[in-house]
Amino acid sequence: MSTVSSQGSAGSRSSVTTPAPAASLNAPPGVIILAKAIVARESELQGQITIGGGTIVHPSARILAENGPIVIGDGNIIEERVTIRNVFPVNEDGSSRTLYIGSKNLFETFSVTEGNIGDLNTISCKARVGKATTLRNGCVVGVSCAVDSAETIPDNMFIYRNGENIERRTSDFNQTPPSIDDHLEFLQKQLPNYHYILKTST
Amino acid sequence: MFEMEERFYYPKDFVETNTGNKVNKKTILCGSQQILLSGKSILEQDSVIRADLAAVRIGKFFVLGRGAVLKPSYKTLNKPAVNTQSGATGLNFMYSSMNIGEYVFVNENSFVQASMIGNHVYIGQNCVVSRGVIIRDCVSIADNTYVPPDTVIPPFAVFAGNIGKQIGELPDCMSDLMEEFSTAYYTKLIPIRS
Repeated sequence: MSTVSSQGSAGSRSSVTTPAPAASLNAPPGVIILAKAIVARESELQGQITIGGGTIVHPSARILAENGPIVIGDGNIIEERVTIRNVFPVNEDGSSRTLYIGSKNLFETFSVTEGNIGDLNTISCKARVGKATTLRNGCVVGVSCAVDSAETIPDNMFIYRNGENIERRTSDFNQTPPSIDDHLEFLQKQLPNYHYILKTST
Repeated sequence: MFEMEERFYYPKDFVETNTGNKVNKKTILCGSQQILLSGKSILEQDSVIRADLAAVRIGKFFVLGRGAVLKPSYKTLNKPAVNTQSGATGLNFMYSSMNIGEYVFVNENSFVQASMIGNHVYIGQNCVVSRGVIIRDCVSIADNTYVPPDTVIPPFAVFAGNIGKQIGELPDCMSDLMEEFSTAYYTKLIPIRS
């Protein structure tokens, strides 16, 4: 039984323990994290996953490669409670399909992604992209919209909810996530100060 | 008002602070230096507070329901990327701190990214309160509501729908009702003493 006085003045000043900044830990086996990617320790990674350079994975995000590998490109922001799952059916010859996600996509809180995604898309809060759907570039899936039809959604499509209906329109300009480059730069500076960052286990 | 049922918890599942905050051990609190809980708050299981991005200040008798996420809002600025005087390159992007008043109740699986929330506010289940939203005092937000970015919700408003709109007004006694509700929620959460 050690008393408080034996811990010294520095130890008794603060009772809240915080993670040491810029510490790195090994990712689970099968997970490849490329340079400058920030993957928080509190995220859940399962299976064969490749996370591209500069991608931010916030704490409590879940990336589950259940039926095959997942490849995530550069500069994506994957916020908390996001689920990215590979639930593609396994081919007849036993080989599995890979879930590809492009670059600079923004996955907002509580969204679920099971289909292939291109570049510069925004998957809003509580939105869902089913396994049959493929998103091209610059699309926006609005808040609590579910897309699960077997189709490829063309460039710059805006999917939004109007009451009970889910409606679509194309826009002439790119629906890129708002100032994603500055957002990425801010998070790459800020997150290592507060979180344990995972690195590929060697 | 109806009598709230007592709920029990094992003392090993919760951390209780000197000011009476009850924090479940399965919450994810990022940047705990920047979270200010004024006291008698309850943070339920699997809830998330992202104070590493900006400071979060919370008044007394706050309840964050199971699986709810509290995150400071961000805004993009329209200033030149390079400061001409100092020469420093600043980002056109910043997270701003989040202020939450007293007697605020956030129900299960809601996502709150508001920049300011007043006193006596109820937010229902599965809500999405987008970035930059300002919620004034005595507001009720119904379940499954989506509040779009930069909305200002006036006092005594009832918000509902996707996209959320004002559908009614609350009576003047909303502050008393919320105080009674939040106090009951806090006092009816009882530890099991073996």
